[in-house]
Amino acid sequence: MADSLKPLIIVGAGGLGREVAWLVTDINRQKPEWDLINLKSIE
Amino acid sequence: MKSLVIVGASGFGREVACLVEDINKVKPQYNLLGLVDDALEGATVEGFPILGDINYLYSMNPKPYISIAIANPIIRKQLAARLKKDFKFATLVHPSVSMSPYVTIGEGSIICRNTLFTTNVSIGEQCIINVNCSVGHDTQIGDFNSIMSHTAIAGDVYIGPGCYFGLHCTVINMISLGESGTYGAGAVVVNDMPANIVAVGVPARVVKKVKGEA
Repeated sequence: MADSLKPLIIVGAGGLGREVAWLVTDINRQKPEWDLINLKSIE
Repeated sequence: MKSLVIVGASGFGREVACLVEDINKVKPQYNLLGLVDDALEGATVEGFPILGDINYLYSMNPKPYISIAIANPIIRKQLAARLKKDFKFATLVHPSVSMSPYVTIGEGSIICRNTLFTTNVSIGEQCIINVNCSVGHDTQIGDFNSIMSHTAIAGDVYIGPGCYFGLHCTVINMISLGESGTYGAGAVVVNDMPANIVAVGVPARVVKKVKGEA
């Protein structure tokens, strides 16, 4: 159910932030858990 | 199914033959006809046939895909230049390799078991990335690199073409390495490096300059 997903913003949109975005998609492939809304740059 | 012949029947060529078997176990993709080698004949210890020397490839009809399984970047580059007119190169990625959708791998490259590429990584043509390597975000690896097992390359690294990394090298983030560098096993590279050098140790230091290609 899409509305049971937890909304998630990753703080930091540099290299590691994008790696974490990949990690989140990997988690969701196993079992949908996170609604990745955005990456938020702190620059 | 694509017909495939591996060029080079010594250690790494036989490892690539096993890699192809692993790919086929997931989904049959290659009909591995055998290997060719200018110095060996008969069959490998595993029983893969050695069909003949490299010129044997030209007698084959239809022409197979080939994979150059020779770790020396200079020899691999020479062979690729010689063979590219007539043959297509297979790009072989072991099914266990882990990578995001934002990774590009150049034609003819061989990526071995358990290697990991994260995001926005680019691997050039005819690279060999051996088992258990990891490459971080935004790193670019040029053509004809040979990267041996357990090497870890951090993010935002640029590696020029034709480098060789021995077992277990480490390359820290945000540095740039010139073409045709050789890095000894266990080297920890923490600074930019010029082209055509041999560097060893922790931290890696240049111990030798070598002649570049003419």
